Amino acid sequence: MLFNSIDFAIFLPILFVLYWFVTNKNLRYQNILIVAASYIFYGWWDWRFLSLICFSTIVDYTIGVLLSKQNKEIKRKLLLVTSIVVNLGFLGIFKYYNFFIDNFVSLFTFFGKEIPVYSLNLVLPVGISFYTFQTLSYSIDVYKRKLQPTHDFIAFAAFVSFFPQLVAGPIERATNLLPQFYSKRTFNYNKAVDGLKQILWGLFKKVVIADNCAEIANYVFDNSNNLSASTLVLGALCFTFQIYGDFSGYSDIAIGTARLFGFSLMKNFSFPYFSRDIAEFWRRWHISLSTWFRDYLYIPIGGSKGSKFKQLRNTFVIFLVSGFWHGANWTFIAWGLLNAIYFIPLQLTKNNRKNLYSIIGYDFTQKKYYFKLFEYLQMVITFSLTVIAWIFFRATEITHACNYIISIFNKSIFTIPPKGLGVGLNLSTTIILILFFIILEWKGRRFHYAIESLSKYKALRWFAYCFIIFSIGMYMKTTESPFIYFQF
Amino acid sequence: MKKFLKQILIFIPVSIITYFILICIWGSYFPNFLCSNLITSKNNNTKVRLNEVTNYENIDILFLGSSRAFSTFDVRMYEELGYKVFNLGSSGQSPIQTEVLLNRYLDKLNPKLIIYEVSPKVFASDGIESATDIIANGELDYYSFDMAINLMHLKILNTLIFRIYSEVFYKKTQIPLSIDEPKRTYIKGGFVQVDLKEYNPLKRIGNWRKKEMNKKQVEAFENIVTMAKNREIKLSLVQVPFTKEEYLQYDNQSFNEFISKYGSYYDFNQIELLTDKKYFRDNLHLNTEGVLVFNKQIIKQFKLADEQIKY
Repeated sequence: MLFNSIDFAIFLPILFVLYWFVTNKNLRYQNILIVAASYIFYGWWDWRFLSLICFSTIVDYTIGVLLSKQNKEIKRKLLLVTSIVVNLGFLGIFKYYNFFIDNFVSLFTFFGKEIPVYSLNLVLPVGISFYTFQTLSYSIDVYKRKLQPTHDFIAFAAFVSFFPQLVAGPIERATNLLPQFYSKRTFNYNKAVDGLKQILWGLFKKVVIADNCAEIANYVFDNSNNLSASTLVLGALCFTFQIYGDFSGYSDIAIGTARLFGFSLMKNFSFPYFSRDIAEFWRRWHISLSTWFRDYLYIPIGGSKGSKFKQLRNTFVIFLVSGFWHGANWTFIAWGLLNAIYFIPLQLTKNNRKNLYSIIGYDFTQKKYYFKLFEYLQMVITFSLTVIAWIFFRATEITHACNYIISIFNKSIFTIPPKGLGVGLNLSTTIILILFFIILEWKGRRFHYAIESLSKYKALRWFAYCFIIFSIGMYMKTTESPFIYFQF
Repeated sequence: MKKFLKQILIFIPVSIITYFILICIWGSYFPNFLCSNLITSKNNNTKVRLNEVTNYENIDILFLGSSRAFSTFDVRMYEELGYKVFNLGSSGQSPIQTEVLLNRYLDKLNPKLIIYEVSPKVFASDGIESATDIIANGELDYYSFDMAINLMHLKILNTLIFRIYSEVFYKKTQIPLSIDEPKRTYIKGGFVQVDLKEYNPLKRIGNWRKKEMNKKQVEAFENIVTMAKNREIKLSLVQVPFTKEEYLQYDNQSFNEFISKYGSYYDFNQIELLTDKKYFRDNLHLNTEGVLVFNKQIIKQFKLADEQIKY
């Protein structure tokens, strides 16, 4: 079920009523309802893949219980390895099998040896990378004794399948989300209102910003060989806003929906395009994944400790794995590599932990706004580097991305893209919408999301919400389009 | 919870009213490119045609269909033969809109023959483009609301809201017989003469050559056939030529088999007549020369010049 669909618009209020008015007296019933609703939500795409979630739930629950009874280190390790193998095994088969086989065959062919191909015709289950990492975090935390294993199967099933964040995150840690399924939930007016506001803003980002940008980005990337440099720049910019609107929009809707049911999910985006360096960008972009890799991969392999060589190696590993997590394609690996290259100079000069307590123009420790022209220059440079990296992310092949970037650097960069790009696209409207979006994001950059605190006057706030609803009605693309991150 | 529900119950009507007000402001004061999901009334051929049609009654031939009908069936050539004709085509007109127009005007027009331009393209369309065109520029009646409810689309809803507002607050003015469309001249009787000779293929993005038939279109088409049958009006189905490349984009065999079940059907793509691109202004539409050749062929095919056959 898509968040931006009529189905979800019907599903959500029904569930809300059942949750707060029918099952509210009994925590277990509420959790059962969440599991049932989550399975309906997921099964709406393809009910066959529910078996994967069920299997993953049973395996990790059992491993958690067994870990609690086991004190011998070797057996504990064996249980952890089982969980990792099962979870990553599914991911490997569904997501990466064909990639490895194809590259293996290409490698042998390159050396003049033909080998038979055994590729599988598999459909990638929606959100497999997200719930796999979420369940893995549980097993690892239980193994490390950071978390008491749960003996409540329903709560665990609800934790694994919790519908708002099941298919595209935020990738929750068991330490944060699982305990919320044990405690009684009481309805909180402010949280619920906040949830609705965040849903509204997420929807705007997705159906207005991302979907309008997508139309232009898709056209430009699909026809990049025949377009002027200025049009290519426009296409890359549109994709930059498309992916942000799409993914952060999903996260906002997920977080807002969870709030309606009394849950707090972690923040996943924090105005990443206002970052002053690439390290800050990565602290603000897909936070749940970055911190997951930091805690379960980067730190275990040494993190920023050890020799310079080891530090650099660890940085490359985390960026390459992060790229590969996104998809079985060399373009994602190249995207990860490029980000590592951006990051290394900051790491070598020990500047990668600057800007921790402020967002451009606002200091959180002193709670005041400030102005530094140099920071704006840094922001523009960081944004431009990010745009270049996104070209690799969006391109179909590495050569496509390279040709795209090379084509940008020619005289036609000084031309104006043709009206509607010659195919009737609504270019001017999209640009105006992007500007409107940037202004709202900029104004709200010190909050959790842009429209969290619009005005102290209720009438103005309500008008702003109504205006956003109107903008959705006036500018949304009327064909339902799935979220980009579903494919990961 | 009570407070939450109370606030929601207040916010819903407030947001609906604000939405309506903003639609009216946008439609009245903002340029078209800033009204993505709203079509406002323009001095276009649909507006002029739907205004003019009310002056016609008891005609011989009625032409129906999309822009491939209103810019192809040149009413002047038929009038020269002594027929009283009207071209009721409209932009992107699909069977859903044809049904609305027939419900509205058929009894008064009371034609003896209907020549209905059909193609796989319109049967696969969702009918949104044409519905907004007809709601924005035509009469506001039961059929408009019925079509809006049937299609249930945001763009149609917005257009309908603005249309209601215009109906209530805008003064009705005399609609001229000229249109504000470049290189296009409205000819009395519904035909639009397009003065473009050069071939310039239409480029569009997305799935604009959908192949699967839309069930709602088929249902509306069957209603049209029944309507004609009940009134004993001869209904002829005609497929106006596409360029060869365009024609090959569609599943023509299935379409032709389907459509010929409903009456006399002529696929002019299969008649080696207008295969050269010199007859086209784009992949969908004939140019002035093509229109001339095609209408002559229609007159021949239907023996309209034959004195013994007078509709």
